[in-house]
Amino acid sequence: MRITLAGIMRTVTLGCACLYATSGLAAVRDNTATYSLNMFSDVDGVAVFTHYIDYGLVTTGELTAGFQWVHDKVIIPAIDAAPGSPDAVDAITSASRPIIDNQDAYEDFVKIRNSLQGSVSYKGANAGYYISTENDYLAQMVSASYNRAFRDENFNLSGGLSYSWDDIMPFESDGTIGSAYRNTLHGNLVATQVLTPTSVLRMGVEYNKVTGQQHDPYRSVYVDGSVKPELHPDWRVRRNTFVRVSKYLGNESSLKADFRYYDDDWQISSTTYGLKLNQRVSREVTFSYRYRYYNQIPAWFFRDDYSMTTSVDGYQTGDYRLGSYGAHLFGGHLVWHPHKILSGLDFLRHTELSISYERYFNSNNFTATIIETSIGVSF
Amino acid sequence: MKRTLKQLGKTAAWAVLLSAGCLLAGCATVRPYEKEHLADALMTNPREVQVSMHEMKWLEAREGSTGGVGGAGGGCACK
Repeated sequence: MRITLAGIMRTVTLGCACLYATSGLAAVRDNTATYSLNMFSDVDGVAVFTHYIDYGLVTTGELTAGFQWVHDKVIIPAIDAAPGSPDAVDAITSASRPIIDNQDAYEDFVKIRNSLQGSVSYKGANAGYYISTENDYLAQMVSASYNRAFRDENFNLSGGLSYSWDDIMPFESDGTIGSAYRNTLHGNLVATQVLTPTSVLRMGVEYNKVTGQQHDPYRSVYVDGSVKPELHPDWRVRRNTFVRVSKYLGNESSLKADFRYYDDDWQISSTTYGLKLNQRVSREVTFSYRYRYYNQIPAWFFRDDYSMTTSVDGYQTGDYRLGSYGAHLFGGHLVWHPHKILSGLDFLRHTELSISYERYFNSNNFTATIIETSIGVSF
Repeated sequence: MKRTLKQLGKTAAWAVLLSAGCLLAGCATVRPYEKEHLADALMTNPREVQVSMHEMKWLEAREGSTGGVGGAGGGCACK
């Protein structure tokens, strides 16, 4: 609660001011509100419950405003091994959570995160502010973007910039609170081109420069016979290029194919391929099937095991995300527009209900299930 | 082997961008009245962007790369 309350109050005030200014400029033409619940659970017993509330409005004066509140509850299970056993010692050493007293390790760890985001758009220009709070982390971001259509609205070019500054306040093992920071400068350029009356191409590039602490302050690594805190370089430049083609297939269906290439100066590079088929089963029901494949090569300082070696130029990591692996994601998404049931209720005629189920697994024997359900209303 | 994959990925990315550029240069203009299918929710659903952002949030906590949807975010409790 150190900075949380002030930050939230500041954001709420800013959001209300934006909404007030928006409604003052012109009459509100459309409102949309969506509630989503996302549930994530993995093979390690980690569970994440995320609630999203999105609200957007459009005025007759071409001004739009959006507001999003996100609430996360993360549950990391207690260590399931006898106290003092080698398994328990290993689990405590590599845990990515604060363990001030050894007893903490044998209890579930629950972490709460709240974030608020507000944005205002007018004639292609967009500005936004974001704040995210946890008991040991405060992140803030300002963003701006501009997009413009050309050639009879067959081509759209969008450019965006954002800057985020994070305060990291880890709980140290001696009970004190540490202090670190992480700053991210982000830029993107995205072009969208209508190719034919049934196909669209979207492609873009992104650049991120990250400075400051980029390792988990709670994780340790066995290095050359002793336990050392995880340490990553405090500088990282991340780039990616992506392309997506969307094609209307006829027979009430569409196909979307995408490709992304990512690399950074930690020498990680990855490729991602995705395919999604949308099929309208009836006037009210749409079903989507999707598949995504991801693979990457490791960071230059990543080693599977440091126990028989030294750290690499002073760096060591226990983060499998910096290693080499491949991952598959597949799932389905059902959207239902209950027009008939709600036909008598004009206010709710644009209600949308959806549910999705996805499975994620990678070559490190990590598997996860993701379920998301949502209800959206336009009025 | 690993660097070969990196080179291949990079080459593929540039090849796709170059091909896309060539395609754009030769694009015919599609008239507004021809865009019926493009406006269909199967092709342009604003909710899809929201869902992609939700997905990016948990994927960033499980993969070494980031981005690809044209935006950026800050901290995440799920990491």
